[in-house]
Amino acid sequence: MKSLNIKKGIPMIPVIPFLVVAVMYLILPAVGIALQGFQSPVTGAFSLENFQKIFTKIIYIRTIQNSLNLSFISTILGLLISFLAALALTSVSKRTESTVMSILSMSSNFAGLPLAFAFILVLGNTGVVRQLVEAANLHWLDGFDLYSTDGVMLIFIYFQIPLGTLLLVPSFQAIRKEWKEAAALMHANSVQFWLRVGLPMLLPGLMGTFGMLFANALTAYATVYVLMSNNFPLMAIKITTLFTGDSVTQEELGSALSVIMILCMLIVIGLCNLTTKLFYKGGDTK
Amino acid sequence: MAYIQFDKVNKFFGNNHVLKDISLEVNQGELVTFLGPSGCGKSTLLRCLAGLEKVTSGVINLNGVNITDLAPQKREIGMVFQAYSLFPNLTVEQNIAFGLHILHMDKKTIREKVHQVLAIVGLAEKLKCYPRQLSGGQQQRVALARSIVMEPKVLLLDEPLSAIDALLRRNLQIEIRRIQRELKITTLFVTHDQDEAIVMSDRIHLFNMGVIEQSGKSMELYAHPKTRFTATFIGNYNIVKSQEFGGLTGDTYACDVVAIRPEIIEISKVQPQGEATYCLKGEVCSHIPHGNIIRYTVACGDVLLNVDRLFDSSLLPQDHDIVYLSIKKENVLELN
Amino acid sequence: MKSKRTLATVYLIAVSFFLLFPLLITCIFSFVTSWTKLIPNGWTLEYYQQVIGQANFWPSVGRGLLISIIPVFISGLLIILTMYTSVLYYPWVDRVVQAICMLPHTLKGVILALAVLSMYVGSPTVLSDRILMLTMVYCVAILPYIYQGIRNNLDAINVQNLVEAAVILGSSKLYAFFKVIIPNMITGIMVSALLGMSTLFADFAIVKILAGGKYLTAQQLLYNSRSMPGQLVSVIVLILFLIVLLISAGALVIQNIGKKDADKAVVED
Repeated sequence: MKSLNIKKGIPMIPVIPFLVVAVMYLILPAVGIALQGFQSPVTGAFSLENFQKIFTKIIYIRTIQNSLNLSFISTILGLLISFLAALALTSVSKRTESTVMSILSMSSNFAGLPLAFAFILVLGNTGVVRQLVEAANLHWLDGFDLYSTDGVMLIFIYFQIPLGTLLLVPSFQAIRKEWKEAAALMHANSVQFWLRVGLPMLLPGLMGTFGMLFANALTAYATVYVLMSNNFPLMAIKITTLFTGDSVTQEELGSALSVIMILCMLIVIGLCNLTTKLFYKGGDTK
Repeated sequence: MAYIQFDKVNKFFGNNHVLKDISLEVNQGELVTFLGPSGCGKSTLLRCLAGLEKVTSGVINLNGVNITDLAPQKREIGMVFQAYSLFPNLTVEQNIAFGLHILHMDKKTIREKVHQVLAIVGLAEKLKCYPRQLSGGQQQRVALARSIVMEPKVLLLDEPLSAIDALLRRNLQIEIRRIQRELKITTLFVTHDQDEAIVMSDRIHLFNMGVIEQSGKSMELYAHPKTRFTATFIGNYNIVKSQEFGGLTGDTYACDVVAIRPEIIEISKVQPQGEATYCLKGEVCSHIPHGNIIRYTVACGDVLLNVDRLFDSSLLPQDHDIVYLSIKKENVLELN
Repeated sequence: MKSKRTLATVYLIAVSFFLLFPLLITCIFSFVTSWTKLIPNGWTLEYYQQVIGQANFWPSVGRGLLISIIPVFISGLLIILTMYTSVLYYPWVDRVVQAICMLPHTLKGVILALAVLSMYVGSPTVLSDRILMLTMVYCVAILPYIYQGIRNNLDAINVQNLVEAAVILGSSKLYAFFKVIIPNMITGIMVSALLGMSTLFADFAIVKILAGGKYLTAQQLLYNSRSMPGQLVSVIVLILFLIVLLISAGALVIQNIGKKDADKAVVED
């Protein structure tokens, strides 16, 4: 009966504003982009030509390769450094631990534009450190150009470290001292413990962190933009220019590239989750 | 007429038949316990009385009034939950006054009542504290105060002491019983702990998979279980298949199992005499001290029997001794 | 064991140094006249004076803060409203809301901004307003944080139990919502609100794409100053960094207040 349905529906009213905002500014735009990627810029009909263009033109292939390359390497290196840092944090004094944690929290706020500018100030062409090094006739920085892939990579690694370490610390804290003691009593050395107990237990945390760091690197825009302007073959930059370029905008192409970028993220995160599910035994895979 | 009446109450959760035709009565001023293992339906019945669950069929009467479809706010029932349900953002005083504010009482009356009830539970000094500053036991006492300040017709306690450690639990059991007797509130108590039920209740209803297995005074359930389930749940009965026991005694029994309390089996190194008594020969497998009693495990053939013996002498049987167990025939309960 | 500790400490010192180094140099540089040798040539506060005195500076910081706070309030309100329904009436609503709130994680960065731009920029209605788009995209971007903060809080206090207790004491569901649920949600939202705010304040990509020159935030100001003397840039960098740091620190302080009270709880009766 109508009155019954209305009564059941009334409690749903508070959800409406949320749904309106979510639909208008999250779901519809996302669907819009996805659909636009499959839309021909010429005819407006369904077509795969955008994707064809991306996978045949060298500039786009290089863009994708570059993005993936940069993201993977910075994530792997960043994760490695973070892993060792989180591991180190379990063996130091309380005072060192809290000092380092504060430094990490502080550095995690140092991202985006301010970070890029700081690096320019330090290692740019007229950077402070570069000038000092040259004045002292040392050749440490000769081969290093901040305004290149190397430079971008360095900055990426920089902002991956605090994030990665802070994300990994809780996982390490979950490694109980008792497990290490039990292993020691069974004549296992440190390496054996980590290989057979520690690392497997850390797997969900590691995989989750990997996914987050990767997504972070892949979508980074501000830092790269400041260093390289629009001239750098990176997906985030390319997509933006396709949408807001000075010349004719190529939204369909940009949408297609966006779809590819999102797919890359989903695939990587999916693989991370899969690895966790397959190899992690004993406990929640949250 | 009884104060609370459940008449053929049924409750389904989806296809799960959790309460099966439950009918029982509670008299005014009683403390009645719903006892049983997890999932037997005891909490569900309590929640139906509170109005937090709707019965699928059946009638619930309170003081002569049919409250089956009444909203929980209107039932004048108090409830203390297992998980501490004090409002974390309010002080103890504000928590207790919560229901009184809703009744639009004046501030003076509210203050008086709050003080009164806090004194009853012995926490007068915690008036301005927040729940997070109280221990588990203290929180439950405040929860109790919050319920009784409303002067409810019935007080429901849903495993309120399950999350509290053993020593404190005993004190709180006595406290709750004292307050209940003093205020003469009809109280329903849910627990899975048979010791707790026996200590606290006037009467116990033992639940098993949605039905009432047995009801009665605590001593009654303990000494005269009517079914195997009751004997397994309450006390430490020896449960032996009647065929195996028959093999030892020579008698036949018209039931599935026999149940014998460990404390009424006499154990001695000398063969006893007695009419209407079974005399079984066996070997002591082990003995474990339990404070003032020693629990023996004696093997009579293939049957293992637990025997509790008072620690009243130094000449007690040891492991591997041959002993004689005497059991009065009337103490062998035949159960299904 | 001892050598392990030393090794670990050394490693952490190295990492900390790497992390602090750019910050340190920037900080020093902001006070310097010129720096060509190992030690700065001279010290000065003129660059600070220049920046702080700049007509544009504080307004753009203000705009940055404003555009960071408002979305937090809006998102908070949206989610609190959904909690009314999901806690008191239909629990399945929570799963839907949670799923939606996790979407911005995949669409992070420029993609959502571009998608919204392309969708509404041509609209003849108010939807094409750049600042509106910016605000709403910011709202959506921090939904995951706000949702998680509120959800964690409600789970920690076992909200269903509280509602039942309130109802038994005679309260209506609405009364319980305002007197019990909302006060407990507010504490949860504080921490994530501040963290969300610091994220939004530090954003450059989205505001550049959506609002371009129309709404000059602090980050944009920083970008526009890129060709100015290094010292000036470092002053701005430092000030902006400090603001973000203060906001995050505020969140940490609030978090720890909550923890301290819980620890004070009496152990015995």
